[in-house]
Amino acid sequence: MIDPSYNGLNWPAFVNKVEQNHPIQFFYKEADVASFQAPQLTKEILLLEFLQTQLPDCNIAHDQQGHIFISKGVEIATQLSKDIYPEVVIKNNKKDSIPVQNKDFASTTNQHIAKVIVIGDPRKGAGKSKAVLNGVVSSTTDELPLPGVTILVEELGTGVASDENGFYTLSLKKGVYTLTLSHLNHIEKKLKIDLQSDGSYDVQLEEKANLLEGVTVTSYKYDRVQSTKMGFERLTTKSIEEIPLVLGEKDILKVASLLAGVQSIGEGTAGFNVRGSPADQNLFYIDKVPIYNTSHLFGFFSAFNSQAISEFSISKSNIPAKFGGRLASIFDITALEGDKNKYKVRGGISPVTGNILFEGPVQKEKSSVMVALRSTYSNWILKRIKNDDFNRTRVNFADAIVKFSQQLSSKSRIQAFGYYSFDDIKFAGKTNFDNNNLGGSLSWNHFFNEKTNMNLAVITSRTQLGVEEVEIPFEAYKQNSELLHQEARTDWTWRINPRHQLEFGGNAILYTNDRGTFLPSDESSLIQPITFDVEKGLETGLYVNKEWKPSDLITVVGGLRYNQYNYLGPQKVFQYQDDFPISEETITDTLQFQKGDNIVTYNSIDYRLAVRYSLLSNLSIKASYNTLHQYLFLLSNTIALAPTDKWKLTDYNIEPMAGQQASFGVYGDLANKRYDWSTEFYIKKVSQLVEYRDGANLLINEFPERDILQGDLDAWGVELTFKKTAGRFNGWVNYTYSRSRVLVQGVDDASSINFGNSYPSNYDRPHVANVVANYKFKRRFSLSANMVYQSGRPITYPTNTYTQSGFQIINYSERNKYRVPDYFRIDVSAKFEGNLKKEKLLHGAWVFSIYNLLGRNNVYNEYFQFANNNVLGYRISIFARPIFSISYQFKFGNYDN
Amino acid sequence: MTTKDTRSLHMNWLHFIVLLLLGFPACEEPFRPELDEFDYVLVVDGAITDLPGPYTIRLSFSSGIYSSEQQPVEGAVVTIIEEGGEQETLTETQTGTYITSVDGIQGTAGKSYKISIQLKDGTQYESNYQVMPSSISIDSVGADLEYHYLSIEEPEVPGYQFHITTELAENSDNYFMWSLESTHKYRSDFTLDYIFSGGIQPYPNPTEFMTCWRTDQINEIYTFNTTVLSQPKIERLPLNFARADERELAIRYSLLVRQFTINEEAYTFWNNIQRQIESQETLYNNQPFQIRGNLFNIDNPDETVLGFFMVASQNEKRVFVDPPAGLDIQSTYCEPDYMSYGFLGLFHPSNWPIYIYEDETGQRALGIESCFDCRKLGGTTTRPEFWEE
Repeated sequence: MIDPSYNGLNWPAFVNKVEQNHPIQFFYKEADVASFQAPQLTKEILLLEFLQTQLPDCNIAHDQQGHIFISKGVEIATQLSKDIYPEVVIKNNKKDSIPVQNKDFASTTNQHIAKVIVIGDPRKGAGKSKAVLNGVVSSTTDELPLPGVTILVEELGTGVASDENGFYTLSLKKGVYTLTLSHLNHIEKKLKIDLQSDGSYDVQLEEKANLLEGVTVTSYKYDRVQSTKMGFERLTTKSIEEIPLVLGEKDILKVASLLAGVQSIGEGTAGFNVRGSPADQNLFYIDKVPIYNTSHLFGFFSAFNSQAISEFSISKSNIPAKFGGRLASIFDITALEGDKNKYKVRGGISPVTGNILFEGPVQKEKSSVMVALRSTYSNWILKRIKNDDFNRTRVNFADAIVKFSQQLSSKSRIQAFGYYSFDDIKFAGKTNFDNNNLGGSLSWNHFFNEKTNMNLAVITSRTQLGVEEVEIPFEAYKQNSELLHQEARTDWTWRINPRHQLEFGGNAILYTNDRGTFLPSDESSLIQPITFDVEKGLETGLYVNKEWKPSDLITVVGGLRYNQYNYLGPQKVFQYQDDFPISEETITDTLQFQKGDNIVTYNSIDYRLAVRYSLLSNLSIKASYNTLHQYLFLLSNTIALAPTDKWKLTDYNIEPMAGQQASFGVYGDLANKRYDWSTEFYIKKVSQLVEYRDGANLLINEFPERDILQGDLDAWGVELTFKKTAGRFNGWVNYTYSRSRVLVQGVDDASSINFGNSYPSNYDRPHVANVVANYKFKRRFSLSANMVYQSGRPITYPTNTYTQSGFQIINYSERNKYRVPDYFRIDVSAKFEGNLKKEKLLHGAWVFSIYNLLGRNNVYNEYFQFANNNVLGYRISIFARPIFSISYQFKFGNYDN
Repeated sequence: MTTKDTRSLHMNWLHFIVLLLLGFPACEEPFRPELDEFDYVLVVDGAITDLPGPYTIRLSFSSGIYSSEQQPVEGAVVTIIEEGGEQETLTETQTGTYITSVDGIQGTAGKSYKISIQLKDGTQYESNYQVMPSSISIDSVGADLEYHYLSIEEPEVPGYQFHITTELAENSDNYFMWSLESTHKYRSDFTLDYIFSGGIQPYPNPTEFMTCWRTDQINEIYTFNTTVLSQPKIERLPLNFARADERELAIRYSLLVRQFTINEEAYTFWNNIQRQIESQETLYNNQPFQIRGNLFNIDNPDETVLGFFMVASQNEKRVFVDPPAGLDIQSTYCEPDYMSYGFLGLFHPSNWPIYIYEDETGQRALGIESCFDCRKLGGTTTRPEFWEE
């Protein structure tokens, strides 16, 4: 409010008086306010209303902190992309008054006025008019970098945002500025800087109090309503801490199956089925390293130690143009970055594994390292069991993650990442199984200027599989295979202006798939040694992705990705007669290719289109369309992924799988983003889906093309999600209705599946509902519960029996016509934190959890066999009782750090 | 949650892992699925072998899974044809059962045979010519005492693991199918000392129904092919597992191994059936599917016909085993019911005759029929001709 006491003041005096009487700061250019006329008031008037009439050709904006921005020609509010920076500080054209009576407001404003920070050195800056300021914004809570922090230079009304590594860069004329840093979940911070030369300054933001406690909800860092992303979810490790899981093993990937559209075949199985796609259509990246085997112990645990993961995201609708190679989804996992200031150690013990994590600076504030190790100690238990078969059983698995990051200069940083995991299982002296993954990435981030940055990375990943069957000595064998992935990629972002952003880049992957050997396991075995081919394939991709905002209400994203796949020699390939089933009898020619020869090339241009339209500030509609290609797949004809499944490259006779997906959705939030909800409809089509002839033996298969049948997958679904993202009570509810059908129609019945009729896929579960709820009673005690309901998966039932040479035989007919009973499970867990004293050596937390609280016999599979001349069905349930477990987590130091 | 039928199954990975992690096994429950529909299709069951005929072909229409009665197909014309040689039309001796004559067609290794079937309605079915492979002799069938997990909810049980060794074959690619028949000798627990049909009469031959032999076809299919071996010889390939803690192995047990040397197509059929059965109860099972044989409708090749016209060389081997020594195995299954003897007069005449047992001390007791009459357990009192004591 201003009143007649302001009458006659000129602009500087007016500003002075307003700033003295109210917690308000003005930001303006002298030239813009030249038209200001001294007030001639007769009564009280709202400040903003007054300014609006006084400066009709200026844009006037203010924020909650009492900053008033006046400018000409520049629309202040649109300086910041809403997609990246959800909570825009400035709101424009609002004709209400600033709430000057608000005490909170006054106090926070004062608190923000800090001392002037001098950056750089006047001598270094001499002779230059501009200087570059950069640094990393992180959170005080976990010291993790914060992406998407808005850094506003108040004097100029311009700003930038921190990138995925929390890095920001500003190029400014030398001088004194006020920077406002704001972020959705963090308290806004104001800095006064005196920029004298190039320099860097790292900032930490404090997390907002209302979000501190065990928030369990996905997607902090992007705005579900304003982003163009669809079918996208993000989970942080912190957010899943209380979610109860089997055997007390915190497992961020298992939590993924509680999200809409993500399912698994059954308990204890590896892999996910995302929106009706088979499990090998998902790509798992951890810090750019693709992991080809994502589970331990055949799927009971995931191969990623959740302690060492800061977050992961899953894209199941519009997959960004920079990713290619898989049709269903990209799981992008980010490992924890080490603390650059302090050394920290923490760990945990669950009934099956123990883990320890170390992080700390190498060079203070410049570089850090994080090392996380996890291993099972079940061997120790096994040796103590007095049972022959158990005694001869050994179960060993472990994984390690190492991450190093170094700030090279104010504009550059490098990151080195390493991953190793293995499983070594000796099963009652009969079957030995070992598998390992080894991967690493080296990446370099560079900021050319505030608008352009790039990332260059080299990546390698290897998965090895060994299986040995020794039960029957004369046919005892061992089998080894290996897939090597070597990749180089570069990704560029160019923020042309606030309305246009361009991303482009490319990658090249060389796959070396050693299909391995099949050898006698010792001298007494009569197995004939076989050496399979080593396949090579080169997948290259170039992409460009353009984001365009014609207005605040609309964002359009268009991307193109050119993929080329070359299947390379040396290799012997067969040509088969057209229009006949591929078999030994239909070979027409044999082609011998030399090393480096190009055997076959597949290329395609894939599209990524997305549109968002805001109906209201908290309601938007989105649509997207994608095409994708995939050049390798798992040779697997079991219903759940088997640990012995091997990868196979697309080759001369097997065409790449191609996918298309269109999605449409409505997104909204309520009560100041405390709740959000979404409805998404998708339709998906996969062609050249890889399926297998009935009865195909994939274990020893020199010519997989003779057992592969390519067909179509059709899937569609509706996903409804409601989340409460904040507060002591939080969680989510989702419901999905989806269908997934496969059609494999060959030239004859033997080259078709299900007589050439379409059938539900193995993971067609129409109704799925998940509830995740957490309640934090006090700082030290929280309770969580999950509920999972799923329609039973489809199953093939027998249709009749017959006798053959004295044997009674069960005959099966239509595939997947029936379903196993529905699945329903409730889990609960309670977490107790140790005391909250600030000074102590060790902070511990206990998690008690009960998996399958109701002890329901959820059916994993049903099968049929003759028992006393009658066919009887049997139902197998895996976790058929409530499973109670306790785990303990500890860290050195106090509760918060 | 009950135990399954006896099957020689190695405890699979699932069972182990779950037991290992949780300290309790996965759960398995029998159930009777609702299956009302079934395919009404022709089933052909028969073979020609290198053993002397006559050979039998059975034709039927399949039934639903709960009715074991297949409907025989009468009045068909069934012909076995040797490629470039003789052919014989079989005679229907019983409804749906067609037999070659004693001095009729004779299978010879190296020659090819096919079958032709014409139903009463004129529909014609055929197989392609199948070559009869030469036979490979069985070197030995042996048995070892082993302990196996037969079900996921039961501890290991002792028993005999049978295995087969063949002689070295001449060709490298050989395909086998084995069919097993077990015969065991067993005794009922009680002597039939008296019989009650209104009045107590001593029974003239108290041990008349005490000793029996029971023969069963083992409903487990075994197949093997030597294409993956460096030399075509099978050494101690595991066959069935006979548990020693039940009546089967109480006195003496005999196993007849019928070895069929078959061609690749027949092997694929039998191996698919074997794998389909075995894979079902594992964690990583395949989709079950309809396993087609080698018969097809000439006019409509996509019509489902079940069964396989097998062309095979056949060898047989019989072995005998006695119960393993030193095992503490249950030998009696009946408890004498002394009390009910006192109420003998109260039984309704429809239950007569009532069998009475007298123990060494002269006390009389009742028991269920199968405790006196071993035939009630599926055997006969006639000693089989092949039986060796």
